[in-house]
Amino acid sequence: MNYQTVPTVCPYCGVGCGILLQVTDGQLTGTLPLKDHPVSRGKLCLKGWNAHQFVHHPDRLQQPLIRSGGTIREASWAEALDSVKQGFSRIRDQYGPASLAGLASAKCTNEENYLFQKLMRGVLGTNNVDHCARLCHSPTVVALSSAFGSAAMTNSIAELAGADCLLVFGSNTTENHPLAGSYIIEAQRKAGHLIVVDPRKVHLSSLANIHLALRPGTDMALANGLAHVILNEGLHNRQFIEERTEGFEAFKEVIQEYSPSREEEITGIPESKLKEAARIYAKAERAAIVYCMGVTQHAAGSDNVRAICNLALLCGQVGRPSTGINPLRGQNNVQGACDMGALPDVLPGYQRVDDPEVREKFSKNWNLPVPAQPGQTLMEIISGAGTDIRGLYIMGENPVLSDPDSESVRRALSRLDFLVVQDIFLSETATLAHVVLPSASFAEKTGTYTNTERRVQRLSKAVNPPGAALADWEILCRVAAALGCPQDYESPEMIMEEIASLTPSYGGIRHSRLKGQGLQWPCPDVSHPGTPYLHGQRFIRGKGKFNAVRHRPHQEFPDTEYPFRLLTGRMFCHYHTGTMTRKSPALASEQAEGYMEVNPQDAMALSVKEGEKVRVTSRRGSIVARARVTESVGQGEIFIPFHFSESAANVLTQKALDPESKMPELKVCAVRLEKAP
Amino acid sequence: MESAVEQTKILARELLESGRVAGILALVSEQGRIRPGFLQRTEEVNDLVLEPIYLLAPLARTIQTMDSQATVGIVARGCDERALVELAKAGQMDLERTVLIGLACDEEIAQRCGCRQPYPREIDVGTRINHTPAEGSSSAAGEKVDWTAELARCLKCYGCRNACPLCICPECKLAVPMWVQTGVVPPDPLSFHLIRAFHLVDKCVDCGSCEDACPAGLPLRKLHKHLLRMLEERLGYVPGMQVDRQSPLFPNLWCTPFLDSKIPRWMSTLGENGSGEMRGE
Repeated sequence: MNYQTVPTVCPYCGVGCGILLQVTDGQLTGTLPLKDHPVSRGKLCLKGWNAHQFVHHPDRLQQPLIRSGGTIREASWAEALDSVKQGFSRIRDQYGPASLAGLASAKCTNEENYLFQKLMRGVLGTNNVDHCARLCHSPTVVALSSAFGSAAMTNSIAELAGADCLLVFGSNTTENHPLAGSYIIEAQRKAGHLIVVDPRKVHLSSLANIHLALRPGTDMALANGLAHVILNEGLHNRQFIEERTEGFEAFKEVIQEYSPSREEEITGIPESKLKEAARIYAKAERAAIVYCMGVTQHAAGSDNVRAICNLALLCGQVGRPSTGINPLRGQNNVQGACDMGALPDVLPGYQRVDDPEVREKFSKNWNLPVPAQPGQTLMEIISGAGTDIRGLYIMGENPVLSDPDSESVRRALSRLDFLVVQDIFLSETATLAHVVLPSASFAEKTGTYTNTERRVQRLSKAVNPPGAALADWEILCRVAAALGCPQDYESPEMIMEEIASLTPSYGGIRHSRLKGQGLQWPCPDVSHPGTPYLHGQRFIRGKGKFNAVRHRPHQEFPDTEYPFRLLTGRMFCHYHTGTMTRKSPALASEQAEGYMEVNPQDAMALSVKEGEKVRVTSRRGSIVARARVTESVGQGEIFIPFHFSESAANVLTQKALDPESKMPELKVCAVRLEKAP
Repeated sequence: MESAVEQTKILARELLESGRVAGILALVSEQGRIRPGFLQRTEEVNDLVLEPIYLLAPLARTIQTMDSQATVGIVARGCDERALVELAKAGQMDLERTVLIGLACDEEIAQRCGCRQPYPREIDVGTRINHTPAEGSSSAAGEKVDWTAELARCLKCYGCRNACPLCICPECKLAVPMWVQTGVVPPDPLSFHLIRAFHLVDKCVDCGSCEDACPAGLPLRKLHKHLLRMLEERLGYVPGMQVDRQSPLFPNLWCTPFLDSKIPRWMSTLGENGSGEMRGE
């Protein structure tokens, strides 16, 4: 008998915990925590403990599939690759490269995302490449770049434990980033100043010293209200503002509009609570802000993030350990997929595609042309499917469930002339594909992930992929070769060397240097030890910029026809569209099906009891889910987690977009409820 | 005098060369990461390390469960050995197929763990430290605790159960909706943590694995220590410390053990075979 433990990185959220896969005779038999990991330090969440469970699931794709007529059949790699080549070439020849698009994957490695955008740009000739970061932290990328000059978490996860005050906006951290939550809990127990901003009563708010249960979508008004109190009481950091920031005067002017009474009118948070929170944040020696989807998934997402950045600049709470603005990235490698240029306007390292020098550099290295025109974003790609966009290559994403208004996504994808989906399971999206390419899971390949604190970590291969499945990077190499541009990489290590040569912040990243702790970018050269926190002496853009923003109400308010406000989100035992977690027995048995949370008063008015079925209808569609009668949502509000395809929250959600980041307003829409038979 | 880790390596190589074991469970450091490994070749012993503390006893059970023939070597601290004893009493380990390299913890580790017996019965490496955890220290049982507030932090990761060497019920009650509501965080403290505590009342060997694994910093050892102290005071029983005595509680609760286990009066370490034996009844 052969028994091994293989250290690697958890495939779920952006915290990037260290796990040990137990392997017995070539099969995964369990997951253990990695004790000396810099973030997870021998602890894991429920998903992490069960990270191995979906890997050997019988539904894993083992052969390429080709649609012929109405049915989908198994095919050889040669046949599938030929079909991919024919499909994409035909569209490119007939409609031009701009009619092709690709969705990369925040689940795949840095090397794979790098190759994917190289394939889309260099081989297929389009900048139409994006991925699900559009649906989580695209407003972060916009706003943090404009305020600080870098679109990433400013500090490190472990530093949160050292904060005297933690201000958490729209993050149910202990459920959705549990091991980051572990440091928040530690800080709360040491310093006793945890302020949680969330319209719902979530687990973290129950542990908070102050819970600011604001009206959904009013985060910006609240942040402005906090700034108003801080300015009026003279608690701002004058020296920091003078030496290290710009735009203060204009900001100050706008903030005067947000008196506590106006703030209360918008957010519902009373003056006394607002003042208490503002004082704690401003007076703390080290105060850190943590935020997540509750802030970004709004049509005003970018401005919400700006309002939060202003607070940190106002109090000088950035550029030191245990302070900063800390967006918690969702997917295990969403940070990396962004870093690798799986975005329509930037190449790896956020180097702008409309900069001729940048294009020249990449083009020379790749020996392939790089198109100049920035491409379309995810929502534009989906809505253009069948018209502007004729062919789509989706690697490891499931937009039918993850994107707003599922039905319209399904219709749009069905209109495509040619859809290729590369995945480990036949997801809801893959069932619509013309060609399905079977790929390897995290446990079956090597490569690197970059976690939310910019830590580049190495994966280890523990077992072989099933059947004919291949690692995504191997598939991409084959697709490129089929399209006439062979890519002769022998390993992800070689791909990383190319990435490092083209991406300044990854300049010193080599697989051989990623032993143990990994490296946090910026890491410009091979002797650089990595960077735990950003903006220490100066901001990456020079000075920190105040961006004055005004509250904009969200797009769809409850009315007589749709009187309830739907909030969407996640829960502790599932992950995103459930592709992996619902195939993991320990997680599926914890929560087998979808549900909707409804306030007891509303439940009584609807004569709905715990566990009874409720029909939830919006202007886009309708679903049925069982009621959980709970005080965690207020009257007039309901909550639905978006993991469950049979009662998918995103059937209901709307496509109103943040004008800058093109983030859809996934968090909030109006619905009506009826008791279902 | 060689360091503890060098002494352990020598003994591990000898044991592998003797052919008595299929492999040795030990911590190894490889590519900058420390993990438990099942060392089967002498050259693998070069990577052996002793810290951080990682309870290896549950992995010995895992290996014996999957391979009914293998004799398993293990670098065992006091807590590992106590866990192995209790696993054997429950029919989950065959200690005749287990060879220990007994490792005594040093003063610093003993302090940090608040361990009252930081050494196995037969010590092959290190020296015996007599250590009595002070009352009032974090690991002592006497302190008053606001359990409602403490347990409210639970993230329901099941890490305490997963890391525990003795949470071995085939169907865990904590995952059965009849006992603990599923899909909700935090779990009801009475049903979740007290069911666990009662299940472990006469098995907990105070290794601290539950607390180490807890992302929410729950003082789980304190919870167990209350029960352990009562058990010791009233019935004179200390799980893991009394090799030749079955639990005075629920003695008939165990179904047929899945391994036909015999418990040697003293488990063999290097050199001598176990002398005398005692049946786990």
